[in-house]
Amino acid sequence: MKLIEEGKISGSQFMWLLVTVVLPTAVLFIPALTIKEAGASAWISGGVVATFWGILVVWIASTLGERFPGMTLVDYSGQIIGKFGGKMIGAYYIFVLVHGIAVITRQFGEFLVTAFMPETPIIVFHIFLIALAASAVRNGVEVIARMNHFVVSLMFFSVLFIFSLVFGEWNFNNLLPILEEGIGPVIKGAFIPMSWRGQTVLLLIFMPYLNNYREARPAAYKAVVMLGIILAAEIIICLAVFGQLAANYVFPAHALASYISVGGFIERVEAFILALWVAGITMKVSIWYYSATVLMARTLNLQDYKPLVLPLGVIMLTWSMTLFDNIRQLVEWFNESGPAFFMSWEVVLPVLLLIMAVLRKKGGVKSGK
Amino acid sequence: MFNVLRRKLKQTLGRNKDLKVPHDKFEHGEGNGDKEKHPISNSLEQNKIILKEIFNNCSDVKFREFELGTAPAVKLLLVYIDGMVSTSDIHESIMNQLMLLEGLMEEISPEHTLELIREKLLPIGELSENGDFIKITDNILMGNAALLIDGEKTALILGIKEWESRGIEEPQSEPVVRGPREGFTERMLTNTMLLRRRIKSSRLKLEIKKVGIVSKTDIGIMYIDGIANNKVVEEVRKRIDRIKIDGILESGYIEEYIQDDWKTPFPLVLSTERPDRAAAHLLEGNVIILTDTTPFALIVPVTFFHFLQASEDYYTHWVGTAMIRLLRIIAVNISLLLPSFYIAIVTFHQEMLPTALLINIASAREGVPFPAFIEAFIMEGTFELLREAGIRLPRPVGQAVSIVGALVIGQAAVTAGLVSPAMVIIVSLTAISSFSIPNYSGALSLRILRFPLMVLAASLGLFGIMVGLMALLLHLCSLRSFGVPYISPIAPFIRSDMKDSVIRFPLWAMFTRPRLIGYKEPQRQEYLQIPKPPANPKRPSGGKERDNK
Amino acid sequence: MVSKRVVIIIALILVFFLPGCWSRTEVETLAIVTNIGIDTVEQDGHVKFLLTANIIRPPLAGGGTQGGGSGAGKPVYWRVASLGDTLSDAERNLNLRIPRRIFYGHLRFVVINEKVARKGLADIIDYLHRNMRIRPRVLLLLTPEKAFDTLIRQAELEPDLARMIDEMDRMALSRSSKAFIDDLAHTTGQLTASGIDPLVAGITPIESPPTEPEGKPVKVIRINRGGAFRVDKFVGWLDSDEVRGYLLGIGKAQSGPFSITLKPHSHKDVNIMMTRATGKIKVDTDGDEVTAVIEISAEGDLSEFHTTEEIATDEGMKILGQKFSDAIKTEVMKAVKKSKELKSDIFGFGAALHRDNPAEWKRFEKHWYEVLPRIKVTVKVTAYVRRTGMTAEPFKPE
Repeated sequence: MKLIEEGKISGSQFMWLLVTVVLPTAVLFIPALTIKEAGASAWISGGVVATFWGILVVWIASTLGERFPGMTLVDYSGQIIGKFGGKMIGAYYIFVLVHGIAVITRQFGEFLVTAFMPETPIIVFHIFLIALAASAVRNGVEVIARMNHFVVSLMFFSVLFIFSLVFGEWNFNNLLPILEEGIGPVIKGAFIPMSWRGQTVLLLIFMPYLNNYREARPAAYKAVVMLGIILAAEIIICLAVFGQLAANYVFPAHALASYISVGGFIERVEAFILALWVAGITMKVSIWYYSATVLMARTLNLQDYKPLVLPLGVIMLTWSMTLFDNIRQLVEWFNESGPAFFMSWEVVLPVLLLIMAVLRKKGGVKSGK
Repeated sequence: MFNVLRRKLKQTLGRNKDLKVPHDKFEHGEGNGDKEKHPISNSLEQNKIILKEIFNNCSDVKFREFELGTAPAVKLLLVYIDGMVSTSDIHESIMNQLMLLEGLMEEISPEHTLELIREKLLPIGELSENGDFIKITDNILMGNAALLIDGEKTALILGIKEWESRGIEEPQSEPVVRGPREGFTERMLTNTMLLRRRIKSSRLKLEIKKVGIVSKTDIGIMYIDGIANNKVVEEVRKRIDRIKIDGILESGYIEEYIQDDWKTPFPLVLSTERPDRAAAHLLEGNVIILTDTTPFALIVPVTFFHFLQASEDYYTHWVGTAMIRLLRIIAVNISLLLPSFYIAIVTFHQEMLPTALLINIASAREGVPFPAFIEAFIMEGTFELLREAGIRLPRPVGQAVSIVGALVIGQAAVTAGLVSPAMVIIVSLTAISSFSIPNYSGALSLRILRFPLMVLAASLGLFGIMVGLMALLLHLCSLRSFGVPYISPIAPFIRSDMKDSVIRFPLWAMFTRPRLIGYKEPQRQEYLQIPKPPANPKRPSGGKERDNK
Repeated sequence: MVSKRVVIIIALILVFFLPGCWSRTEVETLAIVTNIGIDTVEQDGHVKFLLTANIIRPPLAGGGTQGGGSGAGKPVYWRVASLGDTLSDAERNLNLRIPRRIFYGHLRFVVINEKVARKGLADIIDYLHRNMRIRPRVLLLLTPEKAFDTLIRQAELEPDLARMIDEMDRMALSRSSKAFIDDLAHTTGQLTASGIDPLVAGITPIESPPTEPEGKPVKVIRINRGGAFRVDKFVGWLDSDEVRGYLLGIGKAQSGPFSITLKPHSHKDVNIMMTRATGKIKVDTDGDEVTAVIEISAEGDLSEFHTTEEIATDEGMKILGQKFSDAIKTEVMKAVKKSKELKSDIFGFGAALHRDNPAEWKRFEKHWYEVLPRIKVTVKVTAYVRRTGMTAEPFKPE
């Protein structure tokens, strides 16, 4: 089974890839969405419940991946449920990823247009984002992993920076009472963070590139826990600063940054956020884009994935432009059809594949020895 | 349209790749005569005619005919280039010895003239025999003298090169406050000597290659066996062998041919004039490429951070150096980003400035007729012009330029209302920052990249800058210098190499060589030699040794 | 391959460079608004918003090489106003009069007329929050006069009103704790949360006697009260002492002078300078009874002493501490009383109950404003006087 690309990545690069697969958009949208549902206990949905869910997803995905070391998703789905089935799974994942990228791109564009440059047509942002991601994809997985490592550490620093600069405004009374309405709203509020966290299932795509496929599982667990910590911290701080008001903001993290005022001169750092998210989302889109392209090349039995980059980019661009009419439709999509859409490929398909593989005794046996 | 362009580029490249110099003339006279043989005959007259033909119209090539002072006098012909050989050697060690023979008359026999001359008569260290015209010609051109003997089918090559060259001086391009003042010179053997004096080890290897079909420049590849990565050394050899060109006049020629990517504005090969720096890199496992006729040595492989290091960093106290390194990183950012940030903030994100500053900038810009971008472009352009003019002009005139420049940029432009005072500050800050980057070619790449970033900033503000920076990061991440990722201690992140990138750790903490460059022999010093006061402070430090005895 | 990409990128850059840049505005084409005032006026039977803005006049404001001299003495801000059916309408209508783009990025405070606030703050807050340039940290102020008039009052010592209010925001709280200017985010948070109501700093417009030699009387503002709200409607004023009581109760007070009476004089004879204070509210229920405990601990130094008896003893300090805590208690009780009178839960008793006992809160939530006046509030103060300043015993004239 030949890989499409020769690149190799290390365990830690893999972990950071998985962090970026989720974080950049999550950090922007999740606080408002969870606080709306779960109120003061939102951090439990976003941080705790979703993390356990993420661990479950990683468990399923890495168990599946470890049965077929060094093989791509399409190849072993082909082994498990027949060649045609494998192709169908590949096709579904391509659809899902392209759709996902369209949504991410749209989120990004909406953020920029709303918060920074209302006069600029949104397509400008989309074009630049997809062009950047496309050139990253053409450079291959190693370059993406390297770039990502740099960008993600930058993101960590800036998020920490923002959190610590609003220190003076923290009021933890806003976090009380815990579990006021019982566990119901918390679970309800957790659906969106759960579907977001489940995006770590993309580890299936990147596992074959690992130097040692055994590193995938611990790295992915670490990534999920790290995401849990960051998002819980973010929700807690949004709540501590703004209280329930955070749910009214479209982008609470942006409001957080614009609320910073230290000593009268560290003020007005929202533009900083913009820089952060341009970097983060470029990486996120690059990773998804790469996954989609490689999957497609494998599904179509191509030798090289590079010719697919441009056509896929054009599809994503049009898709992202026509997907939603307004920003609330985007948010509602996440609330209503989002969870089902995400669950289908994050959990349902991997679980089915895993069960089939176990029942049909495919893979795993040879590698186990 | 793009395809046409691409095809054209490809064709141009393709032609270059299998370029063969169809220079039939050289095949006779010069060229690398490995395949063809042109043996000399045993008639001195005939050889002389051929040599004269080869060196036709070369008036600095001297033909000196004389006779060996034996009974049947043997005819000799000495050929050399005036100015490239030691005249005193010609007189004293050759002519004197051969012409004024006394007491040897009896033993001479015509069959052994050559042996006699070689074994007994010539007191010269470097001496070889050759019977091929091409080799003889090459040797003469290198500064050796050829001694042809009548009746012998081989000539003696006498190594008496000597020519005028600049002495060892302080390097102009990399001055230091503390550190050796020696710099490389134009003579390669002086340069190898400077390195050998610093690394007295038989593991320091030197391979000499000749590059340039016409110029036949000596290229020396130096590395420390066992520390340098064999693959890199092999790759360097391969890439240098691949160069087919008429002449190499400076190491810049080599640099352009051996770097991994020709499109990048970033230097992928480090050049230095300092032997101590070259030696330090040799010890880290890099390969040094010396070029005859230039004081600039090339160092491969390099990473981006090498361009922010100065040799002095390792000679002064580490705390200060660590801070200076940070300062340089800031300087890199300023010189790359400041003008574009100014444009972005003044035209897109005015809310980012403190109110008082915004008001000041607004009032200063009140009378300026251009948008901020044009203003910045004019000023940056003027500055680049001034800098260029200052470098090229003879030194006394250069000062005049800087005075005019200071007046134009600093005073007149503001008074005339062409630019705002804030812009002057931005330009000067940028300039100062770009001067504080120790490596010229490193600073040059940032200067070039500043302009596209300004365009992006003017069209899309901070978003544009970020797009530019991400593209830059992508480019940097995809670059490699001889297989080593260009921004290596950062991406891919190598914790152990952080000791010598953004800041410098104390020397005792730099226990290993850079992982990607010197991994063959990672350890470079005893582990943890932290300087400590003596264990018992009351006794002098030597006390312990005495006790042991 | 890469060359093609480079060409495409260059072409793209050029394309975006040609048609001009959508969001680009040169800094000199901006009208930098530092503060706005909001009034309502009736016109043709319709209620319209009157938006007043103070705009910085850059050429006159400091900076520059020539600007400084010529502009001296002239106020650097410029007041303009316009009417509109909505605030956004009024904002854009300003541009029928101003040749520059209204720029809210440096907005520092918003003055709201008392009458507008009585009708409700929600509309205004919505306008402020929706605008991408207005930060959550914009300060809110209430004024009894027309906001239009407030914005032309003199700023002394600082070049403009915005900077003056900005500095006052810090000074008022840290020097005397008698005023507190809250920002948009906090006020909105209190407005939207149940069981807590906002208190917005209030301006008293005064006419001060001349402040410079041969000057005329100047119209200035003083920030010395707080406007209490019920839900989002302004209901009444707290005076500066009551504001401090409120700040002590919610734990925001920092420092401030407390004048107390040690001996039965007709005047206050001792001053304790509070150096730090914390406050905490606990609410409990017992059947239909709601009880609240405000726990305050404070520390202070002796800063003024008008009588002559010995005070620099442990005993003396204890007595002073007792008096100090009594003074705090009185102030907090006054504020609580006012809060009950106005039926405005500025202390957030409801929120405290919600926090400590969500189930009980459910019971009271519906008719909280009827419960509020009936809450039994106890104030527990532990106050210490720690130091006596640079003198120990008072100077005795003999």
